[in-house]
Amino acid sequence: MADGIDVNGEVKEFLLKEFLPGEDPADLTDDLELYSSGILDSLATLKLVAFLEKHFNITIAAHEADKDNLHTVAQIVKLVDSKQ
Amino acid sequence: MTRTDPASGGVRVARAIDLLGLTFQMGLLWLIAKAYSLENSLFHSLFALATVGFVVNAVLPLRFRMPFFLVLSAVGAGLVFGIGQAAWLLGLGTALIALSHLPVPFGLRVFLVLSAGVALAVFRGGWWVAPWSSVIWPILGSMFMFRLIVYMYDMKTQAVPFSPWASLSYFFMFPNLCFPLFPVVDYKNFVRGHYQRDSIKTYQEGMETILRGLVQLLLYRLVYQNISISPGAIENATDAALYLVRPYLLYLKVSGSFHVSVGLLQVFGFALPRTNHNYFLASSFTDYWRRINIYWKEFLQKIFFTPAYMRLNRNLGATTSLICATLIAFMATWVLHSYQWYWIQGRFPVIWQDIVFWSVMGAIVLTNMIYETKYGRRRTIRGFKRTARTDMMLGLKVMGTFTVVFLSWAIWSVRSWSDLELAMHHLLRPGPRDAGWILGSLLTLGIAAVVFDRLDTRKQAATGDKRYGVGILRLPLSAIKVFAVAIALVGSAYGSLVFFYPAQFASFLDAARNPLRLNSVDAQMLDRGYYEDLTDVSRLNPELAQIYARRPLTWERCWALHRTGSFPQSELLPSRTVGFKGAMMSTNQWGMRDREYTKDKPDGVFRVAIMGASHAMGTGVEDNASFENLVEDRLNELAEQGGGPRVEILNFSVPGYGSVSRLHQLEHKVLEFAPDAVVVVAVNDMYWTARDLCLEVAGKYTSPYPDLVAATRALDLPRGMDFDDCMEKMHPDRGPLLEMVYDEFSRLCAERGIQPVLAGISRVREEDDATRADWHAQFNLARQFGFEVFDMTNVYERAASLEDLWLAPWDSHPNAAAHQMLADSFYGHLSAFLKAADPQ
Repeated sequence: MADGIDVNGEVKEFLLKEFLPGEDPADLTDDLELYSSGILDSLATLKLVAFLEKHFNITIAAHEADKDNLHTVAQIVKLVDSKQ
Repeated sequence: MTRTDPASGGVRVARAIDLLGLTFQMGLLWLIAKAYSLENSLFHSLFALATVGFVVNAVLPLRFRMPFFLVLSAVGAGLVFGIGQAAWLLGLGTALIALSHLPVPFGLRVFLVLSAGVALAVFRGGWWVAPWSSVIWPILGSMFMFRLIVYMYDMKTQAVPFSPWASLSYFFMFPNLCFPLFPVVDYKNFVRGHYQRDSIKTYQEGMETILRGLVQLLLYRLVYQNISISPGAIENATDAALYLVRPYLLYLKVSGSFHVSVGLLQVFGFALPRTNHNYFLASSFTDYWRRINIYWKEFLQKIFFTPAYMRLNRNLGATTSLICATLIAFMATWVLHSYQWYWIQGRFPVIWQDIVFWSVMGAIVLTNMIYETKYGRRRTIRGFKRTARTDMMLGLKVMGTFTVVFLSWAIWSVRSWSDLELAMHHLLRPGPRDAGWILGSLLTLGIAAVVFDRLDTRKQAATGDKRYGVGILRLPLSAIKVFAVAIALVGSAYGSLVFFYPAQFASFLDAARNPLRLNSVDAQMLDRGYYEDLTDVSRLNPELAQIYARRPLTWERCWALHRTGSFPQSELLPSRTVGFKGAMMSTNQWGMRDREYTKDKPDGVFRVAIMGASHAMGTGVEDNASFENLVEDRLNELAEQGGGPRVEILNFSVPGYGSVSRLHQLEHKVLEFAPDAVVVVAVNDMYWTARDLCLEVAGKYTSPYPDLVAATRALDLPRGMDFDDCMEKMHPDRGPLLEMVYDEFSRLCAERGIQPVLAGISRVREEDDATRADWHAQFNLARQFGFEVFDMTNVYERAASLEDLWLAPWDSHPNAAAHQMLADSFYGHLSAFLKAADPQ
């Protein structure tokens, strides 16, 4: 949580709404592998990055928009936190 | 995940057993490559080196493994190129890497690397003469043309730590030494993947990957040898479907070599992602793009697509950015494709099929992406529930995707639009049997997709440990698969030494093991020098390209052959002695590849003029070894013993001459020498007459024969038409055109009391029925116009192996032994002819 913003919750909410409608939120754990489970692909990554940049008012470089930083919810939160 | 291998007690024993099993598998895989002559002997040597290297690497402490891999790669370079050229390769490469690490601002480093690249490009294009051999270019280019871009990108973004061992190993990785078309391995993946996972699992995955690659290379050979249809031979929808699907199936060659390359890296601990994963079973274009060459996809995404999209998206909005970024990525693919060929071959091809193919692929992927952006794609966390309906939909989608993709590949690969039109014409008018065959094949593919998808789902559900077993028995599942397939393949190949296989299986196996066996269509092309343009041969025909690649660069260069710029298009220069295709070749004062003769015929001499093309000229054999000189010597030896007249055989043959060129040569040169007989040596006058005439149609020369031009135009063959299109359209009317040529030839001879003779010879290979029909037609026509016919088409029949009679694997012109056979046959015919002409 940074500056009172629930990054984890908002990222999960976005993922569930955008890519996993109808899925049980409890299944989306912090360490679920988003690429190997097929939830994120190149196009979804770009959508997610656009959301992160706009929603959290941060700038993500092109080389950061990859599996190294976005493979799990925990990693996404870490990336956002490092930018704020 | 462990970076170090556990090394105590029972684990040590288990590991030793694992390594023993893995070494055995590696040896079996090497035997497959050897037994089936996959790729070339250098590949076999590198594979043997890798097998030994695998054992050493596996027992070395981790910190020595990357340096050992580099040493192995350097030894491999020495093995492939010899020490001198390997030193150039490693030296040039190291200089490029060093430039990218200079302690100056990054922008300046990029500029310096680019400048070095331009300088190398100037050498590659031949504008400057390089002090190193041209043989290292394809590999040097392949190692640096893309990897240097990735490397500098990762350096800028500081994605991973850099070390001299890792950097040098990344560029000089040894599997690249025998595969110029090599996956664009990502530097970050390469460094991070090194012993990041359990080593035994990575090694075992490597064995499977190599096996998959070798099997694909073998399948490629079977497809190549057994599915060969020229556009002119398409008779029904099944032929058309095979013709159109063939280019896509031939991609097995690339995917096979990619698997072998990646597998060889995996057995040295580099856990790299799988590429070309069941791409025939893609269920959408996005899926296809994700499956096929994912190394290329990730390279494009990393360097072009994502940076472009993210920059544009901040100002233009998602859809416009997506369109622009996709266009940039596909434009880059097209340009880089040609850039790649520049480094591999020294030419920068700009080919309409490339533009069409990448535009079509770009448009399809873009449409798919926009659709996905708008409507999303169904995803689940727990996996989909499989039903009969989902299976059916999957099968149908795979069938549809396969159809569109193979048609796109066909467009990319055809020589001309008319070939494509012809194939589509037949494909869209299937008979019931054709429709059943085509739909049945597609249905099989759909069912295979469902089966594989179910198996994949099961595999994903199993944990890594389950797949690989545990403890001492942790190899079995994967290893048994490798053992079983490898032993079956090696056993079949070497079993022929012990067992008598049924004839059909034995001949199938022989074909599968023979890398030099060209299919019938390519055999004709090799004979006719069809692929003068190396760009074409590599783009259209990797098998021929492989053979051509071994050919000396100057093989086709004949310094005694002059391009006239008019008609006939070439002639031999007088009084030259030059090396040509491995033999010395001399021309006399009259521009004949022959001994010196006076223009005036000496008294008491029977003079024979030989008129032909490259075979009759004695291409690639020494001056005295051509069949006509052998026969001349033999007849004159006989004459000295009082056994007949003295004979002069004047050889007017010039490479590439067809019947129209010969007609011109008779009129303007041969008749001046007052021959008693003119012997036309023809391989296939039906074909070569059409070729002469179509070169005129294609605007290559202006014909001095208005009647022939008028007859050609009457066939709706306007000047400027594409050569291949003309050849195809003229095919049914070649007979009447050859008639006109023989008629005129015969008239010119008759006016001077010269006896025309047609000596029909075959190429040095098994001829097909179509060629035999052409011979039959040309002999009939020749007889009709007063020619004596020497049928020498069976001259090579007693040869044990036709390939033994070739000049070289890449050149099927007759060698000295074949000329001796031709001489024996020609001597028999000519002696009988002379006896008939002069019974005294």
